[in-house]
Amino acid sequence: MSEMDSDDGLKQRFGSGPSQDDLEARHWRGSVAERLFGRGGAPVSIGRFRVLSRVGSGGAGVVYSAWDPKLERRVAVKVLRGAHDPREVEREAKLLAKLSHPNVVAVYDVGEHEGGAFLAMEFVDGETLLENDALGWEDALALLGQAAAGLQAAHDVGVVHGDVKPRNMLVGTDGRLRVTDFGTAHAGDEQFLGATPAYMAPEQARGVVATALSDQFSLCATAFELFYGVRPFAGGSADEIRAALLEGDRQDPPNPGKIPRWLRESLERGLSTEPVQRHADLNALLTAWRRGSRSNRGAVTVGVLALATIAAAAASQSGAGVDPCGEARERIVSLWSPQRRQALSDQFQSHGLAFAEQTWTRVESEIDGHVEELQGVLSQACALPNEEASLRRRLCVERRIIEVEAILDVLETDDPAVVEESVLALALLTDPQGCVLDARPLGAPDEEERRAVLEAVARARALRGVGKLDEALATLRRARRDAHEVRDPAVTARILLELGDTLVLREGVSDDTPTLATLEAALLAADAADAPHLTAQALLSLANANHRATRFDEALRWLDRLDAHLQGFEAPRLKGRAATLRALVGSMVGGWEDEAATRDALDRLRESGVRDAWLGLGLNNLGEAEFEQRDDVSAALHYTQALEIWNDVLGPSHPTTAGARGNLGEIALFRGEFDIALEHFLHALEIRSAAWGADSYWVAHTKAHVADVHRLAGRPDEAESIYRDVLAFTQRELPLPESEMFFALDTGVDRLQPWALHGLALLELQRGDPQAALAWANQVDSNSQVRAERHPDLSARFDVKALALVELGRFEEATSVLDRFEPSWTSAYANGVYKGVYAPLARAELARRQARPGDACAVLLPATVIDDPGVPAEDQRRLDTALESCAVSQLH
Amino acid sequence: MTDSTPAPDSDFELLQAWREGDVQSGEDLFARHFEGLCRFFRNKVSDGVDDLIQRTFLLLVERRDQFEGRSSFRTYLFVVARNELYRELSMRRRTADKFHPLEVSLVEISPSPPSVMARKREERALLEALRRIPIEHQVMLELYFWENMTAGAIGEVLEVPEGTVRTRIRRARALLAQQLESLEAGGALLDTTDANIDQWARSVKKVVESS
Repeated sequence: MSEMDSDDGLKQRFGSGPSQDDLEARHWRGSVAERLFGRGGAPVSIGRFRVLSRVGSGGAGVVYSAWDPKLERRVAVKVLRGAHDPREVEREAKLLAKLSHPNVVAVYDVGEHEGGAFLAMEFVDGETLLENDALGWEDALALLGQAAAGLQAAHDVGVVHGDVKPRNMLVGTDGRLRVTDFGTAHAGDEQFLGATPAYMAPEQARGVVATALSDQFSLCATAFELFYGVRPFAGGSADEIRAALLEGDRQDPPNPGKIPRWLRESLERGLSTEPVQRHADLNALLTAWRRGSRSNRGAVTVGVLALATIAAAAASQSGAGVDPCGEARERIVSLWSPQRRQALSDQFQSHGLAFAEQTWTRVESEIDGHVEELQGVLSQACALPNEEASLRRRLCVERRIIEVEAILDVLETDDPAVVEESVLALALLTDPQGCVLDARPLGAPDEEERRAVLEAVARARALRGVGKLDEALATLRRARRDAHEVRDPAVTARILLELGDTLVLREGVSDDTPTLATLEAALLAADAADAPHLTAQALLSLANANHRATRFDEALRWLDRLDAHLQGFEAPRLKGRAATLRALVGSMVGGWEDEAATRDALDRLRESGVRDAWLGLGLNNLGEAEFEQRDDVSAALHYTQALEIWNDVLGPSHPTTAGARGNLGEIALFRGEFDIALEHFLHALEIRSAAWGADSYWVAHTKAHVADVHRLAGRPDEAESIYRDVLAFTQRELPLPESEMFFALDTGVDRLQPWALHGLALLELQRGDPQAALAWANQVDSNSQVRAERHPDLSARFDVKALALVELGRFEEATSVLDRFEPSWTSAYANGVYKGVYAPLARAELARRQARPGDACAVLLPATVIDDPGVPAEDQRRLDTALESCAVSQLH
Repeated sequence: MTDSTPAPDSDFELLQAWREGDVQSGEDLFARHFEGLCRFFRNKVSDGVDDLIQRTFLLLVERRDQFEGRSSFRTYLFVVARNELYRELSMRRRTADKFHPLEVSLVEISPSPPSVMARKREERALLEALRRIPIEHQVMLELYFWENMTAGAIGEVLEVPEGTVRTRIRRARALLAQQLESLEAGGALLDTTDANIDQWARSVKKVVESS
């Protein structure tokens, strides 16, 4: 401690801490002591239970927190008021004690205290359903499903609750709901008067003994209040409420819009005045909720409800054999029901997207194929003679079903961007065949917590697939919290892996981000779980993340480990992805000397036979990397391969394919193949206009390319009219749709405008009108000018201004522009970003006019040496003429 | 452990007696530890201090067996108190994000200041600065300085090895110094921008003593 004790200054500063003898503290001292030690007349003990404090009182009695010295645990003791027959209470308590259902509060003991009956019960750390407000209807329904399961279990052993209401439903901090206060509220007059009639069934109000159907009515009344915020039968007094109840005068829900119709109908049936018109029992109500949730979007709710039903069935049938495959088969069938298929199809078409039809066809067949495969794997699993192997495989299918549920859930989001990304998202589904190879030892069964976590991870992956990264991260954070309870390394690995993959996209990879550490932790967890498939995924993700961080050597090391790991495994998709990545990394590391390695990787890729949208993306990215290195041959090859795959997988009118077309157009332009370039750009333009409408960023972007082609091909009038279109787009005041804001803010409109103005100015120079050229060039706004000093590609847009000024004889201004942007041009040349010839031309022309021919030659020589096929004939001619004239003047 | 603190066994004995129904023992135990708990919760939540104290005492009864013979009573007391505090704070947080006591400070969770318990300006500054460093660090410094707990005992409360506590105390001091400095930047008490908190604290001490 010596080191820490030495800082007397800090010790002095802290002193002995603020004293706690002020008025407020003294008040607390008194009030807490009073509550703890009950000087207000609380008993010291009830039966064998030592009372610690009084926690509440209600119509039925007083509840104490107490200590059970025999079993050494904290209990809740309820002392009943009024004329309860202790023997009757004891009879029911015994029945409940036998019940032991997760959704029924446990009753430990029963006895007499000062002439009345008392119950010792499980102490639930949590709050009542009533306090649990601000629940979404899906969460509320999941809780009510637990309540229904608990009540059904009680009904099955012949116990009727009689006073079902939110206050009697305790939600523990573990999220589990327990129904409490069973059988303490029979339809004796005294009870009726003491209780609030708001949840009571009409027959109880008439004084008839409560039945299981009365409980159903009360549960539906509770649900009604939870969903709509008002009670179904209202009135200013107990008598008024009772009158409304007996007449069946139910309130209309104030905001029926949010709650699905099926849910409302299920409640209305349960709230029927005549008991025979209600659901047959609570299992029937649960089934209705389950079916409804599935047809709606509550995949998560379905899971919880399904469990509630299973728990209820298990409790009621007490172990009677249920066909486990039947349950799973039914789930697969209802998962992809004709109704759901139709609803999704309608939604895909509802946005008026040109590519929606094609995309839907692919999505539908993808899901069909996947579901069919799942059924096949399930049938095989069920036919396995070895019970453990069979169960293991069935659990694996179960996990795949969760994935499909999650992705359908996300696809049902009413959002055109989701339609666009849907095929990519589906490609993230785990291969059902993987279950056949699943060598994992049989772990814990998929209990509720574990299931909830897996559902969350599946949902996050689906969200990542459609590009909703923030939602995905939020989902994962919640899952990570829940996973704490599960303590299964495989579950942890899945969460970390998905988290890492999402972070790669959302936060990137650097020393400041937790991305790599997350993925490394995922790898450790996967190893610990002995789950080879997860280990492979983690290795691949690590390679990918390092590649993105331009740590290519690291990426290759992970890929080597992955290759070694995958040896002997039948995993075509993973091997395909690994090969794509190797090709990408190889092209960056080895440059073009190591072409053989790249080819080898691509060959491996083709052999894998995998063709999915992500592979297209990999090839497209590879092409972009190659084009940046001016390897137009390789780039064109990979763009073409990407285009082919996307055409196959996404359909030729999907906007993603326009990306590959645009890239091919740029290559053709670079090569001076104007006709081919024009064809690609026009094709891209057509796809993008159809997808996003004529008035969108990417359409304007493609138009600028088309105008460039016309200008360079010597069609100035066509070029001018299109540049003017683009300019008009950049100057409009309409806000961009949200989906395009990203491009606009990042690289978009602020680059489009200088691009169009540059084109228009060049056209005027070509026409021999430097004055008009300067007028266009001067329109580039000052923001762009400031940024251009740092962005070479933007700075290139100012070269024409310099040239116009020289031709107008305004040498000083020309020099100032040249000097200002020279540094960024120079670096642009070095990077190969700036391919323009106007800057050196302007410098040379300036030197020539100022009679410094030597300087002119010095500037021009390196420019002409570039011998760039991308320099158009017109510009090449200018360069040659200028070089000739400087050479001639030098001779003189 | 200072001399005024009762021997750990007697506290456990009181607890045991309370569990068996002896209310007087419960009251004695409460009287001994009320002040420490009150101080602990008071500069961390703006309301519900009394509920937290009550819950902590009830939990002492319940979790007793997990600690039997392993810790001193006061360590046990603050293990329970810290757990209850974190449970409360994690329920009160406004987002679905996980509650990270090593990352988030109290000002980020509950910006409303706690009830005033410091009369002197420099004491208020200290309390406010404590609220601005990650909660885990705040708890650690308070246990160390106010409750005179050893690094070993603090380690038991925070569920980390003793060595980690030592490292963290260094970090916590640096963070606290930063916050104190920014709080009192330009203030009359501050005549140096030196980040060395010891020096600064000494200078504060001088000012306080001479005033």
